[in-house]
Amino acid sequence: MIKAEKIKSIEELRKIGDAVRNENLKIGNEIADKILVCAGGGCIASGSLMVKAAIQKELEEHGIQDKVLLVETGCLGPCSRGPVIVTAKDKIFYQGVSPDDAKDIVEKHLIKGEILEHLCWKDEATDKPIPVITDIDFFRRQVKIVLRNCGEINPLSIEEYIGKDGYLALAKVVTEHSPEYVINEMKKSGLRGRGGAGFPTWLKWSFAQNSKSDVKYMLCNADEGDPGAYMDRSILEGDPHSVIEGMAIGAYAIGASQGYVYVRAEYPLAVERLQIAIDRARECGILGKNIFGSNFSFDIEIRMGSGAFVCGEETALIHSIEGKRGEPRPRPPFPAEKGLWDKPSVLNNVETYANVPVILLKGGDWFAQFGTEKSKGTKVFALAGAINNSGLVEVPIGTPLGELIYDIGNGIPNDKKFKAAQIGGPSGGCVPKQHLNVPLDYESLNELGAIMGSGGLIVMDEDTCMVDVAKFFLEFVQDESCGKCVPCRVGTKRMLEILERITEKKGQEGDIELLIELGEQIRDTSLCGLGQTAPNPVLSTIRHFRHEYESHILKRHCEAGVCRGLVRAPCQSACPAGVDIPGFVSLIGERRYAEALRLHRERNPFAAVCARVCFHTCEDKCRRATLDAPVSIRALKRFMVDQEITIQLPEVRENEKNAKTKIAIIGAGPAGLSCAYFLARLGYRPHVFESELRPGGMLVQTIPAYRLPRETLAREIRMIENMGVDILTGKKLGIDFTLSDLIEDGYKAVFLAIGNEGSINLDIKGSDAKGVTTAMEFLRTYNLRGSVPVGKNVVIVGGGNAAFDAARSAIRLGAEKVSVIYRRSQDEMPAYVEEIDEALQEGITLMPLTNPEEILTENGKVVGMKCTPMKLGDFDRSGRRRPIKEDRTFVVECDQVILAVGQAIENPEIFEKIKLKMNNNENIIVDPVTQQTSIPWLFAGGDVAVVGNSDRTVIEAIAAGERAAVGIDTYITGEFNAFWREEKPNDTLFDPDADPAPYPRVKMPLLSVDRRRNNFNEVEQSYTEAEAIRQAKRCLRCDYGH
Amino acid sequence: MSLEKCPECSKEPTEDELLAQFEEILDGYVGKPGGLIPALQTAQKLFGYLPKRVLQLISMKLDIPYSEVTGVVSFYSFFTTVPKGKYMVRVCLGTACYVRGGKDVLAALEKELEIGVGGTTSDGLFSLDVGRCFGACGLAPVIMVNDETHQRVKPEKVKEIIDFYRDIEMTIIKEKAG
Amino acid sequence: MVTLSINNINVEVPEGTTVLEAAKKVGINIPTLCHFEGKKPLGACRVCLVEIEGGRALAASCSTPVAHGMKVFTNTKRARSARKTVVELLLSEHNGECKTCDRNNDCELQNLAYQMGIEDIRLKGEVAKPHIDKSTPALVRDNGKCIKCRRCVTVCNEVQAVGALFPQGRGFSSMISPAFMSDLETVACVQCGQCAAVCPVGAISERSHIDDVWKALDDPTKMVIVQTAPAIRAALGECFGYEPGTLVTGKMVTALKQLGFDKVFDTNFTADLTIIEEGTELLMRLKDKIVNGKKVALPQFTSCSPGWINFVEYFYPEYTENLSTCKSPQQMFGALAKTYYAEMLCKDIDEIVVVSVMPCTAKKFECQREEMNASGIQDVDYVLTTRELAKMIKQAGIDFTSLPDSKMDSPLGLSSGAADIFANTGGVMEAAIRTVYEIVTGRELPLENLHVEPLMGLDGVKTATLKIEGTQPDWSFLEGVELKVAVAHGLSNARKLFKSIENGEEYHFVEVMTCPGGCIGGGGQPRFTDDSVRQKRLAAIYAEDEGKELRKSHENPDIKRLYERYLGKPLGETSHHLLHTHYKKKEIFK
Repeated sequence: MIKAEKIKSIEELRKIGDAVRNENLKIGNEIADKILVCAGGGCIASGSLMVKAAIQKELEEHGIQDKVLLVETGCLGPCSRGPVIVTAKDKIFYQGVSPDDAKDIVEKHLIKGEILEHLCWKDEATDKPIPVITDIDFFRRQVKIVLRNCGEINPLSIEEYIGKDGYLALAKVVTEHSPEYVINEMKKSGLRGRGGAGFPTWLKWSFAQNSKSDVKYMLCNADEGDPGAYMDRSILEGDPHSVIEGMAIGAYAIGASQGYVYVRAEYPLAVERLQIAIDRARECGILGKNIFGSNFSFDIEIRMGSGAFVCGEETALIHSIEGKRGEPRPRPPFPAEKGLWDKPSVLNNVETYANVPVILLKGGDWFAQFGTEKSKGTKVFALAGAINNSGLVEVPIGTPLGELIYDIGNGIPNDKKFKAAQIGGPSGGCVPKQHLNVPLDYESLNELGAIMGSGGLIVMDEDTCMVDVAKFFLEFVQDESCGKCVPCRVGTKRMLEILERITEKKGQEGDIELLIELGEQIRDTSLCGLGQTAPNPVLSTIRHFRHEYESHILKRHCEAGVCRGLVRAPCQSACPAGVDIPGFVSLIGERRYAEALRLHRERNPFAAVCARVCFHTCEDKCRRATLDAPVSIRALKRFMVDQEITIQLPEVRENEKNAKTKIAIIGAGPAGLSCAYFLARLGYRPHVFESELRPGGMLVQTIPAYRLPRETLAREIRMIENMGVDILTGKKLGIDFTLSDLIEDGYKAVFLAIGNEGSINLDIKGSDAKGVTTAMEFLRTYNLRGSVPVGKNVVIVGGGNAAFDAARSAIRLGAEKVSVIYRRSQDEMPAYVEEIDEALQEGITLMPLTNPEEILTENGKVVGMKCTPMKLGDFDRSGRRRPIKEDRTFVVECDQVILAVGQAIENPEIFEKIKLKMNNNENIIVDPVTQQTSIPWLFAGGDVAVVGNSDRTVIEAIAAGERAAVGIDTYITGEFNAFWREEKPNDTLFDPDADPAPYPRVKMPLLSVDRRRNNFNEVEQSYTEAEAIRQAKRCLRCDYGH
Repeated sequence: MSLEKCPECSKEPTEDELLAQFEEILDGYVGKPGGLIPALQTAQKLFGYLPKRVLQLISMKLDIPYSEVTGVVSFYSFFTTVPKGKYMVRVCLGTACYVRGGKDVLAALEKELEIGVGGTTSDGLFSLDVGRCFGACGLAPVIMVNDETHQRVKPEKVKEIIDFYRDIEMTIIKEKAG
Repeated sequence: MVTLSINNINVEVPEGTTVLEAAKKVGINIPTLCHFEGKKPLGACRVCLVEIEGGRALAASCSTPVAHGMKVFTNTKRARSARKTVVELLLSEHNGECKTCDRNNDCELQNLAYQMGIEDIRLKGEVAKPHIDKSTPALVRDNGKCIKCRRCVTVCNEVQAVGALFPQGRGFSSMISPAFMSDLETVACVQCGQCAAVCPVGAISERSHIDDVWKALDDPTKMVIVQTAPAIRAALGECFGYEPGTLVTGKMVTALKQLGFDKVFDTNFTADLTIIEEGTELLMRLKDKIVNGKKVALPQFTSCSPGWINFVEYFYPEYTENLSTCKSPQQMFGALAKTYYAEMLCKDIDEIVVVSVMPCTAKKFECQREEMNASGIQDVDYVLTTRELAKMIKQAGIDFTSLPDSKMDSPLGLSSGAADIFANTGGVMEAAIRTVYEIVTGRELPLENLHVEPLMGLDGVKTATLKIEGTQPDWSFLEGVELKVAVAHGLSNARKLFKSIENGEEYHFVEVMTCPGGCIGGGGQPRFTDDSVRQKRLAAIYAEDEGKELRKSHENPDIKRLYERYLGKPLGETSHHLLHTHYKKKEIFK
């Protein structure tokens, strides 16, 4: 091994570099291999040092310890996969290595040359191992300038750094160039400060250069306090010499002879490695007097922080080095003029300095080729949160956010939906899914109310509550506010208090406005950057997720199921109807089926229907999933309703006055009937007008009987009728009666729940041909008339539930081949996963990433579909990848095309006379709490009046019906009478200290394919009682003690 | 805690002995610009916390008013003027850990240790605190026990981790008892 | 010079001027709270925010230097609403009830709230933690009311170099307080009360003796006599709308009489006495040193300022011997009142209540020192500050401005101009020199108007040298000696003086006054003592001195009579018992 000693000139430096490189060449000749073991903070936490020790032991046992070099390196990036190692010779990347793997690594890999596939990175799509590091997308798509040496060299070895041309830039600069040259190269490079604000580095340096003083300081901000950012830590731990060199070059440029690195106390390893690096640099004469024989002298001292985030602010950091409270002071004077001990000082952060040596080595112009017009170079991001590949990545500035999250980060785990990326920590903001294409550069992020900051990027999925996130950041800044200036000390406290009350069910109307007002004032009035940016997370979440705030305040509901004050149990909170799920599940566990069902029907009359068709958002939020898999809530519900013999009526409060008040409900779908049910419970006797001859709406018209047996639905509708609800069928709004008729007839309020019966037609050539129909038409015809023409070779266009209902019905009705064409990928199909699975079992062909171009006809009849294959491009406003056409087409032969591409209000003209406020989706605008429209007596719900960004689902419709019932009653009586909303105490037995029941989740039994493919018998079957009780016991009882 | 043990008898030094030791170290900081914080850091390393008389000594020797010394101490969250448990358990509540359930881990620890944030167990073994990002976001949620990082901690795993340290202590006690 | 415009008014000011100062120049007052004249701007309170064209955020005018072509707007909607929000935020944190606050109607925050037109409290939430600290005899602090403007911190650390108060903790729960958020008693506070003098709200005040004084006045069995310090007369008027520097001696006496004090005396009388005792002490020390070759503590330090005494006892205990053993004029008065005067009236000492009116909060501490009961009981019973006296006058419904003048009572009321200038920095020294010079040489001090010019004014440390020639036979050992004296005011200047002494500078006599400007800038004086106010008060005091026929302490006939009838001679046995004391080291950490 080469050991560098006092290096007196650039020639000596070059010699050492050559010697180190020569030694590296030996690998493969004299030395068998070199294994790089990641010793970044993350991998150490995962046990990489134990792995290293185990490999060392194995090497010794095989007597090849001299043949194989085992080197600890800095962070490689994919922290969540640690411990990771890389072999130097053939660049094989192993992840999740445990000490137990050491034997295989030595015996199989090193000795026999076999690749250990189980330790390799797997391709997401194919699950095939990708052994070579440079083939892995995560690495391949990065551009490493700052992290050039991280993971490649031993951070403790100055020689290895020199072997990578380390200190060459410094040597050249101090022996050959003027300070002006350095500043000029920096100017050409366009490097901007990586600490957050993006101030041009050269400009800062030239200010300090121009300040006249015999003493100047070069300061390095390694107080990386933004939660979620740890690139500085990785650089210090992985390549400390690059920071020393960057500082020294800067010091030469401004005329400083002393530097300080201010490192946060949470990074003991970084301090240790940096100190070793400084000591070695000093021993080698790279720090100290007359560096490389020049007149330039420079030394560095480490100062440790002691736990104060505000010390990331430059004047606060300076105070802290001075041994004071780390409070900011007003600027001007700027540190370049009066900094540390009132002397001109330059403060840059670690990442900025790490860029400097390369810029001086390769030239400013070289650096400027990366990045965007205004922001040059690369930026290191710390990906964390709900993302598959969390870790450190370096990409050119301007890389779109979506690329970072999906191509490098590999998307969101557990099939959750992306909600937002929080960028820039407590000073930053959120970027929601409609902006996934935003280029990651200073200006673009600012426009969205986020900031580049230090590059912390937290991915948030649907399980994240944005109000809670805002509260988190405000708690953070409140905790970290130094308390010196009033807006930050008191203002953020007041904002936090408001957020606290919002998340504790005590939100008040006007709170959002007050938050905005305070936020803007604090931003405008605070003393330092911390205070000025402290409101950003709040302002940004209000900007992009205002509806979540409104839902917390007005509906007392936290969509993500996070805010404890609003959430009794996450499942219940996730249920749009608010069904007491832990209640009925635990009652099932005690065989109290009737009570369970009654509890269910407190909030949702359609227990049996929902047991079949519900989207079960409850299961998506089930906390049991963190342990193994969610409780099978829908299956349990199915078992529960199957135990019902004679239907029980819920509590109905007779009320003479209400009974006389006439209320009309238009549409006997789930929304209308649910509204009728709850009105009836308050003693009303509403009239339900239904255009078809059978009540049930979509439930009966489009959902096939194999999913929802007709008698099941009929029973629950009969129950509602038995409560005093009159259903008048064959009465169509606009034809048989009008809204004004109803008012003339003395109806006091009307609930409009007519659904979206119309279909959107696909505007392509041939869509008017014979044999082309819509899914709506196809299903309704069959369901209402009992028969429908079906082709032999059917193509369905679309990926939603209607597409699959049509596809599976077509199979059952005798189609020989059914293909579902969808322009996006299968993952993005909106249909339920169960539906898709069952359809596949039944022999349906899926054709994702296929775009219908033209319906080919012969003699006016469908003969085929011309399609274009699609590939995925950038992101659209829904946060999904935009499909892009490829350059070819192909034809799918078919004799029937069923279009299932969307629904619309059939005849929007019926409202126009009464000037109903609609939004551009042809959706009626209603109050989210009461479902009231812009006309006081008219309420609306279901698919015609979707609230916020909720889905068009049965359960959403049922919930809207309930809200409308309460809204109508309050409108009429001026009081709140919804007695069923009161929480029921749960008296089932529960031992909170007992371990969770160990049984795994069991799927619902299904009718076998051959017994179901040719008929409309119900596919899903019920659990046995024993199974049901076991499954019910899996509930963790999150409601307990609430 | 890093009490420096006497190499001869392996007894833990008394606070008086440490104070004498510290006074010597402190001389090195006299007249050094910005020496207060490094002096406090050294003291905390030595004593495990910052006893009042150490702060008074620092105030005298570095000629900084006592109120200013405590003003600096109380500004930085790493300084403590009360003795802490042998094992400092810190729960990361940085953004990544927070959105990945750090709060639940904290609640589980509070339940397991029967103390709140900032508290120390009655046996003096554990102190509980929160941290703001340990820079291990890829492994969220994480907790640190002294300098050891535990990754991807779930509330259900908390007892196991704490028991690990309890077992170490039990072994020490048994060994002492012979 | 820099030209800028403020609200479209052009103004030219020197480089380095702040926007706040420039605005004042064109008659625009920008509100401030944390601003402290002459000190580095803090930028903490944010009530002086203004809009500067092109600026991203608003700028704090106190800390923003002017720049060429700068366009400042102080009254835009943005600036006004920002300032209003800041004051609303302060009110939402402020834990105090205006109606019963000591500072009601005299509170900067209350004034601002009124100015900003705040009519309802929109922002509510957690308030500052209340903690009332009554641990010291001189001061009361209420953390709940503190708005953390840190003027007290600046004055305590930078002006007084005491460092008793400092921000503790961080963020919303931070407090301005002694170490460990404890009480003042636990740290080395000299009780000068400068913090109370600069506090904009009711967070720090003197510990009130008003109730006790009323109680004594109401008690028919008590004879209540009052002494008034020289600095009061130059400042009391400010509480009644007079310009700073207006002398109101006569009205003050009338008011005191109307309040019910049985006798109104003058601390100036014992100031003259102090000069005799202290001057003699200095000469004796010099004689001991020069003639007897004894080791004596020189320079001799004045001892009239109790904050200074505390300061030496805490921070420079090795110098306690240097302090003159003379009690302060207040305590000399107390001792004489309860001995000499009581005997004269044939009164029991229990029947006499001695009240002082002082510009000083530390005097409240001083009168309770264990050394201060020469009469057998506490010599001075109660101390009122100037502010408290004004309050009592208002409580009594006395229309101060229309009062006629009255004269002090005898025999403890007559004083020389030399006593008057005790109120000013450099005054004690000048008074002493007038007397000592004349004793030693037999000639009047040969300086114009008897003033020692280099010792006047507001420079922090002032020195003078006086060559003694033509001595009287008794003092011939001083022939040709250059008497070197130094004067400091504000304890940070005292530290500077100590530094120069430690560096070998030799002085014979040193005067230190705790408060900037001397007693006229005392911690108990009407608030808002910036240097212009100090200057005016100083001038008033010098005018009082110059207006008197009697200019030298040793010429005061009542003093002569006192020696003849009671004390015997300076430094004699009775003097020693009544008028002298000793000081000792105090522990900084308790």
